[in-house]
Amino acid sequence: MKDLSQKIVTEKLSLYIDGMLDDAEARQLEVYIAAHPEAARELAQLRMIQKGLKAAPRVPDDSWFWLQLSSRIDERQSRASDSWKQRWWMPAGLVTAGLAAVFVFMLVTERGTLTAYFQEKTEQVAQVYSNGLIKGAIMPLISSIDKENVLQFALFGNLALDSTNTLQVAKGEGDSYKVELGRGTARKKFTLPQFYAAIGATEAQHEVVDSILNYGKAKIQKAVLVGERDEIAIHADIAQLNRMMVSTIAASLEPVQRVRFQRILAENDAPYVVAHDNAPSATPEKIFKRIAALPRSNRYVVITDDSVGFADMPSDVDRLMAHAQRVEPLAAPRLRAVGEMMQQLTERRMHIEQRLFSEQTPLRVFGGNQVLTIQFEENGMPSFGGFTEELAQPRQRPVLKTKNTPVKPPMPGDWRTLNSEKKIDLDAVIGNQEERIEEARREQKLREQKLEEMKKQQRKSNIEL
Amino acid sequence: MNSPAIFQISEETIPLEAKSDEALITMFQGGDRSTYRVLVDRHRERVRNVVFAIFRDTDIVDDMAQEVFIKAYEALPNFRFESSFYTWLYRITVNKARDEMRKRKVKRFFSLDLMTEQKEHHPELQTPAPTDMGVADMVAQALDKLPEKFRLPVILKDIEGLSYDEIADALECEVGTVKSRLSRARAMLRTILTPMMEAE
Repeated sequence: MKDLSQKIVTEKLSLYIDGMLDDAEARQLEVYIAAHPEAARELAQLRMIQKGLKAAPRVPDDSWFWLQLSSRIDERQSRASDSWKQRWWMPAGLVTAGLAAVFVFMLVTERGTLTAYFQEKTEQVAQVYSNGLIKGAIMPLISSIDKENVLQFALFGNLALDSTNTLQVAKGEGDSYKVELGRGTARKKFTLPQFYAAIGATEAQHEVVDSILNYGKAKIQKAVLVGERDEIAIHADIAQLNRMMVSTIAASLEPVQRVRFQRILAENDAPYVVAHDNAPSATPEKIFKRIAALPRSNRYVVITDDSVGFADMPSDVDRLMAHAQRVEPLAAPRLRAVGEMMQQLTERRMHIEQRLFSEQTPLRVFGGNQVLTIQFEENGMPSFGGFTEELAQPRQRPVLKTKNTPVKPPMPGDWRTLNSEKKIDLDAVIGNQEERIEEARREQKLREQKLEEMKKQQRKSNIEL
Repeated sequence: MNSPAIFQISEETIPLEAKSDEALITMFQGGDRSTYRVLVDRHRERVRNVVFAIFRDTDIVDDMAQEVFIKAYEALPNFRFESSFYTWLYRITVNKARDEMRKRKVKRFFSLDLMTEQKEHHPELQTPAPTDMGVADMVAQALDKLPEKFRLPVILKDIEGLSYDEIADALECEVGTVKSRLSRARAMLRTILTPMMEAE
């Protein structure tokens, strides 16, 4: 075969490695390559380059791509449809901007009063606590939580207690709500900036959502308490807290943002979805008033290693929460103890049904599969109502039957039999704690009186001198 | 007498994910905008990887890929099925990339002197020795040195695996042009890489 020009060889080799030569051309070229080592070398190098290109690094998948894209498309479309309005309604736009500024001002001032309730520090309780009189008697399990965890809780109803245990709340069958404690990892999908970007929130809406999350944070922090003897007390309201938060966030949004919010919830298989509503966003003032007026309850579900029931905790719990950070170092060993207790419960795989405390608030507890499930009827809890509830509706999905078998009658020696004989001892714990608080208050008062007397005497002696 | 049950697969029973691009686009053009998500999910990785292969800059990937899909969303009602959806997407991507490269070219013109000066004084900015790099890295660096009209066919052929016809469609040129540009691009890559490959 006669020698070909370098250009033709290169072109043919390029087509050859892509399989673009017909059979006859390919055979001819193979003969040429066999007779020309430089062509063979060129072919080897081209193959190596092609191999290198095929192994080029790929960008990692971005699961946020669609959410961000759809927000940008929505934004582009709403901008296009609004552009003519903006030209004709410029004066109205200025008035709206002025009103928005007033709202932001109100928001800042109102937020202070709203959060003040949760940050209230009572001098007396602080002293009682620092004196060590009630330290360890009862403490919050979730005292350290950031707003992003609260957001995950609002959207998905779950919260990591540690690396292996979670708290999960959900709407149960019928009118019931469920709280589950046990093995599992909480989903974490959204940072706050991602969430705000996905719904296209304005600065003023950031403030409102922040306040709602702060409210949720305060509620969550006092929602799970651990007693001196590893009793767990779970605030009954927490079961519907995420619904309230989703509903209230939805109320603070404009209809188009509500649709985005709805999409985020639907796409992430969230337990609640936003009901279709064309109402304009509720003003911050209205939202804060509504939150401030929500019914307050001190009703807790209390679980010990051998019993379960509702109990109303003393109102001092709110005040104690102001000092939660002081007990943070103690949380880890408490959590381990609670974990052990739950394991004991679940290992025994007890299926129990409790109606010990009130027929009006039936309560069921299932143990099994390393998860403790507490289910209670809606009539056992105060209803939030209005836009703090109605905008969030349980997601329609096939009802998943619990793996636990139906409750069987108790057998001799069964946990339920024991339980009926041995009532919850938590009243004693709480009563004891109340006594200790009272005692500490009395002591404090005495100290203050003594101090006052000493001061008086000091003043008197100064005058005499 | 009851007739036996007959299982029929109608168009409605096929999930969106199983429908062809053409079927989804037809539904989109008929007003069902929800089909767009399926199209995006199906092709987003291609678009993102082409952008990455062109710029080798992860910061720009998502922003540009989203621009491509926004442009496609706006133009999809007028899509006339003259090419496949993905080659059409490649065409949009290539045009967006060309715009960006033009912008960057201006910036590079002003910063070139500075870079040369820095390299003289800072040895760490020198091109790494071949022994420090894998073949894929060496080839990727060499690819960056090619002019855009030679670089794009190589990316579409050897990284994305498009056929010559598809590349011609995406680049809006003749198949013969694709053949010659690919051949020249590969020759250029060989020239750049031969010293490195021989050193290995």
